[in-house]
Amino acid sequence: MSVKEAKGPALEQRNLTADLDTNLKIIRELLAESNDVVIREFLIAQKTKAAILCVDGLLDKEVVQRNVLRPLIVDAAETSFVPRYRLKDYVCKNLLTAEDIKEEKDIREILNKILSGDTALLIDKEDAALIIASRGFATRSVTEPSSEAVVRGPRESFTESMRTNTSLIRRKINNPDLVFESFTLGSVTNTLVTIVYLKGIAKEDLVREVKQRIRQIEIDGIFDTGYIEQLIEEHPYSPFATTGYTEKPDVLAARILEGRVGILVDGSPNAITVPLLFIEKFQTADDYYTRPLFTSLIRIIRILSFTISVISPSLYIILVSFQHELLPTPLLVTFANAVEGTPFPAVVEVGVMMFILEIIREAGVRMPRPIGPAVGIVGSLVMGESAVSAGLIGQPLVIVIALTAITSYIVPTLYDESALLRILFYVFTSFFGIIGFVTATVLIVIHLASLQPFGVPFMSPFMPFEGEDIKDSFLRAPLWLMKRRPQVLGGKKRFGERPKSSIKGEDL
Amino acid sequence: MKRAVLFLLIVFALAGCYDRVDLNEVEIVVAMGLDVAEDGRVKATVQVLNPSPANSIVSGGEPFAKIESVADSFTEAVRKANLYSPNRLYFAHNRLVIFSEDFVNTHGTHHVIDWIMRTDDAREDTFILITSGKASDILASKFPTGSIPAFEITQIVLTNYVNSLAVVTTAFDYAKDRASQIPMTVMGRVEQIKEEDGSLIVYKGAGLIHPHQFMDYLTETETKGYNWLTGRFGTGLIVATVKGGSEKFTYEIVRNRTSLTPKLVDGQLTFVFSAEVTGRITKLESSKSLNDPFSWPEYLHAIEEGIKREVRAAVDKAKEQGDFIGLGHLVMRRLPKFWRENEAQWEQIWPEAPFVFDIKVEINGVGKLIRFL
Repeated sequence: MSVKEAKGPALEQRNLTADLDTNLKIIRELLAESNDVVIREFLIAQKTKAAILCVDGLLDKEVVQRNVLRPLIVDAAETSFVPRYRLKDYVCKNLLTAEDIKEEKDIREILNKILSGDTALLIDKEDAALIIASRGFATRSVTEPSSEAVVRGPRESFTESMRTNTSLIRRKINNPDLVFESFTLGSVTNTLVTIVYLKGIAKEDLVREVKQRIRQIEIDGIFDTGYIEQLIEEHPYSPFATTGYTEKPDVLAARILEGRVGILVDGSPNAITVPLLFIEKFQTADDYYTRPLFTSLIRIIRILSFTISVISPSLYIILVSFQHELLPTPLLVTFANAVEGTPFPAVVEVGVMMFILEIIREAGVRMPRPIGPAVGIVGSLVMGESAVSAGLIGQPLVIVIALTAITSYIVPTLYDESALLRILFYVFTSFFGIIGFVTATVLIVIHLASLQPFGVPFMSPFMPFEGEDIKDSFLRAPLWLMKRRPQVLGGKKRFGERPKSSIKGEDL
Repeated sequence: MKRAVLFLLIVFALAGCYDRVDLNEVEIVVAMGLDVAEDGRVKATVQVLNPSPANSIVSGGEPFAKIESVADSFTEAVRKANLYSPNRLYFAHNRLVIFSEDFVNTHGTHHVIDWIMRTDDAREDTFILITSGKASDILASKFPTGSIPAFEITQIVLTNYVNSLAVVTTAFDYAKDRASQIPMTVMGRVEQIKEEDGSLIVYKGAGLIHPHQFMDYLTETETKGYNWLTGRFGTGLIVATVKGGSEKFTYEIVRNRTSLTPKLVDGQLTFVFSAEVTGRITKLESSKSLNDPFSWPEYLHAIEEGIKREVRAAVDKAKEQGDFIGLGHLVMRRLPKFWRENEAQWEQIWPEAPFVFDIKVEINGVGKLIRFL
């Protein structure tokens, strides 16, 4: 787990010795090349040799100054009595004013601690060091979420700091049953990974399975929750992601409350949640903060949008190249006019436009901010206007592609999926027309029905059908009607009856 | 896995855009007219769309084009039309087939409908019409809106329900008639009326078509009667008189429900035509208002008589030309035993069968009006 591969003979020594100089020698040898490690030697009460170890930049210097160095050097000197023996305990109990102090003997563990920002106090003639919590490094402050915009509801998002993130969740769920469990992963990076769940609400099997899978990870480094996601998912080749992610603490808290398990990684502003249901991708935080009728409308629009973004280019191919009889005659006239005189068959046109769409999107994401408008101008004017007026592509196709693009942004959580499925549909349709289209649909439905992330049917509540959970699917029932948590996550009761008004004859 | 990938690769490579025909590789047929050429052969006139690119600077001319071909038979003529067209003719959007009277008499209609029913792209719900003039002239008529004639005529056919003065027949109806005991098919009649500045298209009345022979045209009254009897009457007007023929009024039918039932009354075949008609009086020549409820029965009776007159006209026509209403088919379905016994003498039996009427007329909203303007 910790600094496993030892370098040099010094590390044959696992534990601290009782001699400060030897200890410092070993540690210096281990950290020889790092110039950010600070070793400050001094005398406690002008008598006993001692040293503090810390890493510059990771610690709050003020804490070390005020709570460690000043009491030991200045205050101790003024005290009349400082014992000769068991000095460590005395120091810990009477002198140090820091709030979190632990004892540690293992040298590697000590190194791990100081490398994560704690301070180690080594005292001569003592074979254990005192680890003083002094973490304090530069972090980004809590800001508004950038990829999950909301109209209503909390506007804070996770940061790269694990402590900040756990505190954000703790503030949402103020309950002793909320459990954070930590793992250190990455043989080189020693990254802190935390799982979070509600004891008694999350199924025990699920928690056990998540822990099991995380423990099995053997990798040199972890930099984002994306690593964990890919290492614990059971359908790596599926186009559908089977773990959810969020950057909003309220979303994570709500999912934990439903019985899911959240996973946080130090240094990543995203949390992942398992298991994921397909319908979850269409749910946003706003859905629960606004009233149910409008939310239901928006849910249906989202599902339709996803469908449109996946099938519209292939539908265009079917109508223009295969099944002309499907179009109403007046519409056919419009299409015929537009297609007349374009040099390429519809299959090629659609393929090229889909390719360009992805290029423009990728350029929009990667480009440096100052040159942003250029992409917009080139994309809209050159690709859209000019291609049509030059007679390279038909106007209806531009509309189809624009529709595809806009609808695919409505459900950002499904963007990757829709791009992949669109290509699948495109290939099948361009070769086999409507038969290929139907085949692709059947294949996708079969695939979706076979997905079982963490033993939970991905398509629940539709396949298998769960009447109670339909209330939070393409419709959202009023909160007081959704009495149970999702069946597949245990289905524990969450609401009682609807509150009644105390005013006679008034419904609340 | 390897096998699956190989399988997919082979399937996709071998299929190679199976069945793909781009929209600009087909000639979209929107109407077809059938005439007799001067030498007595079949002359097929096909109206196709002439798409003009939306971005072209030069106007592509008229939005439609005409392809004519003459051949010995209908199918040959349709095939040969491809000779004059750069692309394959595509019939899925063909809405109209217009027969000229001459064509029906010379070549018959059977094989045309057969072709429509059997060709994979032609549709069964293609409207079939008859004209006494030349079908090609009708397809060439100009419309003030400048639109494609086929579309305009289709719209005229579709709005027939407003007056119910013509019959709407599709190729499927024709085939259905042949499969039942109906000896002939009633087709809507379309005519071109030449005027000084151009021409007008009128869709009114109907033609009686025996598969290989043109029989006769139906008048407006007879057509309406036919529509009443077959339950195809939509809305329309009844002009009737009251007060011994001195006062004329117009009744506008809004809703109707009709049925024609054959019954055996003491062994005698009787047809019962029942109708429930709701409408309003839209034109009243009398200066008096209809406020007085005691004057109503007279009006109701006049309307009833008006409907009866139309129905009788159609029945009389059938007695003259043959059972185009489908009475025989009706009896076969409703009174199968009677039909089996009398099928041989049917032609003699049915003209003797009396028609009994059961018509309920309702006038809507009269009381709301104090006085007609």
